[in-house]
Amino acid sequence: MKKALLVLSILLLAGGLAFSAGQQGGQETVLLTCAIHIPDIPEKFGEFLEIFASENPYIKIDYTTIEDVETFLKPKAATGLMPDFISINGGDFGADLVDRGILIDVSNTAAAKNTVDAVKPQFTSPQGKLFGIAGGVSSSLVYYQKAVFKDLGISPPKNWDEFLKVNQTIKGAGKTAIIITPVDGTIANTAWSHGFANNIVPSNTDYFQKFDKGTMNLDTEAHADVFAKVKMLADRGYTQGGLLSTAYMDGNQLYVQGKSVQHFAGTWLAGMLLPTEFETDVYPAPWNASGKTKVPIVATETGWGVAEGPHKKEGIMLLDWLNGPGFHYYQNARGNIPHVKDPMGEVKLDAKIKTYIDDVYTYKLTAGLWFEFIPAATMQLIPKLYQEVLLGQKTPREAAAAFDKAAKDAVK
Amino acid sequence: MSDTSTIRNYKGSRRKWSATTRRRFSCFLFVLPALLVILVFFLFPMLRSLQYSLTDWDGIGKEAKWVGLENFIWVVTESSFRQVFINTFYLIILYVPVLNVIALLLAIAVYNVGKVGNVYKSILFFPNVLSMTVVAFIWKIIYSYNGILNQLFRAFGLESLAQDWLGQAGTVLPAMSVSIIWFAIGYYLLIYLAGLYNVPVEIYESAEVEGVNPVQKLFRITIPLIAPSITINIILSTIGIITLFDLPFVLTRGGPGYMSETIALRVYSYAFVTLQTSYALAMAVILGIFAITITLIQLRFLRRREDVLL
Repeated sequence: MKKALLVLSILLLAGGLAFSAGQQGGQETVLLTCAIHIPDIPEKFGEFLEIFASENPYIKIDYTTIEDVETFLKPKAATGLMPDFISINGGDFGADLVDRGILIDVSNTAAAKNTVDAVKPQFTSPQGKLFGIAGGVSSSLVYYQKAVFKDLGISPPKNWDEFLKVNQTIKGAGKTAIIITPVDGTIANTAWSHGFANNIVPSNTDYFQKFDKGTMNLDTEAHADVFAKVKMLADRGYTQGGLLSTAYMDGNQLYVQGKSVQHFAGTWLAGMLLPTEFETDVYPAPWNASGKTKVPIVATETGWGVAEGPHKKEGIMLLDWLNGPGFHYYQNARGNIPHVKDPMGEVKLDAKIKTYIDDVYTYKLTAGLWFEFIPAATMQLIPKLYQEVLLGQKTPREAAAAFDKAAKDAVK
Repeated sequence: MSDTSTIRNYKGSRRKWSATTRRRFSCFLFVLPALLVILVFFLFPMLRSLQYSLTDWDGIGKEAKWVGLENFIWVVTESSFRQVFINTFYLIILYVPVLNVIALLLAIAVYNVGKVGNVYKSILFFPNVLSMTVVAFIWKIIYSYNGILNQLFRAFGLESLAQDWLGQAGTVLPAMSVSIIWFAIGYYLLIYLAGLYNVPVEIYESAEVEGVNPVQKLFRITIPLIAPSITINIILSTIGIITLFDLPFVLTRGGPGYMSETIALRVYSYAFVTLQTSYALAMAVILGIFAITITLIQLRFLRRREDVLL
């Protein structure tokens, strides 16, 4: 009997200890699952999440990095296993999720109130729900080796013709002029978006709506030129060897190793591409024709959203923190352009990027990045079409026609 | 002791089970877990996929409107499907014979070399221990424009041989085949070795006495007697290459263009890249039918050949 009572007491004590361990300050421990797309600073982002967790001891973080947002989230959405806190891009995939109630509307969060209005439309669904907060303001531009430019007596080009001359000079000096990455979406973030912005947006300022309705006509010479420009760069030998097998990080590594004088990439890579051994500067991509005003890109970076579920309160807390008191951790690591009204901490923005974006903000007409307005079903088509054009399997006009058909079919 | 058990049925009356019935019931109970796994994780998803492939299901919502064969027609008439189909067929034609010939020759080479044969077998089997994703990353580094292979060529003054192996239409599939063969050779080699060990040694001894040369031994004795191993390996390697996904996904993502995209990769692309689930399911059904058809044709031909040879 005594033994039985002793065993029972020990069991009760153990149970009580286990129960209290699951409680923090009277609150039950919450395991917040986070699936984040952050290929340039995955470990650092994990550290930021730990800082958040240390400030909210009852929240434990289960952190996963993901390579591709839509590819990862779609099966999760289908099976009802969405992580609590996710990366999400602006565009119709996220819009669909919030309109189905899989993501929550974050319009009334502190994060949303602290976000500049310019980056909200891309994260707003047709039903007017804000499904995510942008991770930053983004653009794409040309990073270049300042010393090489000085040695060759060239300066940043202002239009396409000047750009070709600069590339020819660099090639003549026996160097690789520019890195282009046609293997993945990088080509769409850079050449296609700038080509679309300069060739098509000026006469189609309502392109967002036209894509939504399937009335955007892209079977045009102007759109064909968007593909022709990259083919020209390749045919003239301005691009890196192994062009058709150079992917996102390959291109970044090539530039950091000094194997090319210029690299066409996003502002979100400033943290990686600016602090090189050689001095790097930036200039706006000169995809405009001579005599025509440039149309720069002002767009959103991959942002964050919160899934509907039992932990949405904690998800909102993290969202508010990342876009409030914790923003400077993230921003300082990436050196990207802030999207918040009040960063609540020191912002480390390279002076070159600041100068660039301040200049871009002066333009009356700007355009978004491809993924913000093209139908989700056509996203993989852009890199594929570039590859086919570079292989000589399609002409630029055929590529334009193919994309036009696919974009219209996607909306039917 | 009676050889029947007596149990009561639901009405309470007695019912006798024979030993045969008891045995069958026991066998059924042993098989039941595996059967449930097959039903739940294979058969049910297969039938549901077939069902959804005939609808416009978007992969997330609950609504699914019947569209008949519309999805199938769309995927096979899509402009790049022809290239994807050719790629898959090309890999079967290139990979299956080359892999099996190399595996067989290596098996013969290491079959009777004593204890050092174990070292060779370990080395040859090692790549198979790695995951396909790791293999793809290894070969991506090797084939990279500034990778090991090209650097070796440049170092030996063979600059003209340094290529963009994964970025050219003419080299991407052969390059991919080499990496798959490197990965798989050990596995098929083991099956051939098992077949070789079953061949009675006395047959070779008497062949030697009669003055049969090594080539004749190979074609007149070895190959006929290991015909079942050849059948297994050809079927397995064919199914393996038809359903190959992870290596082309990591190595090339189906590029450049669609030059290394396989049917399996196309299924993934529809499901998770273009987010067109009903097309993905239709393509998956097509892939399944293709795999079954090819396998049945091969099986019929090879079994007949086995009968002739044996």
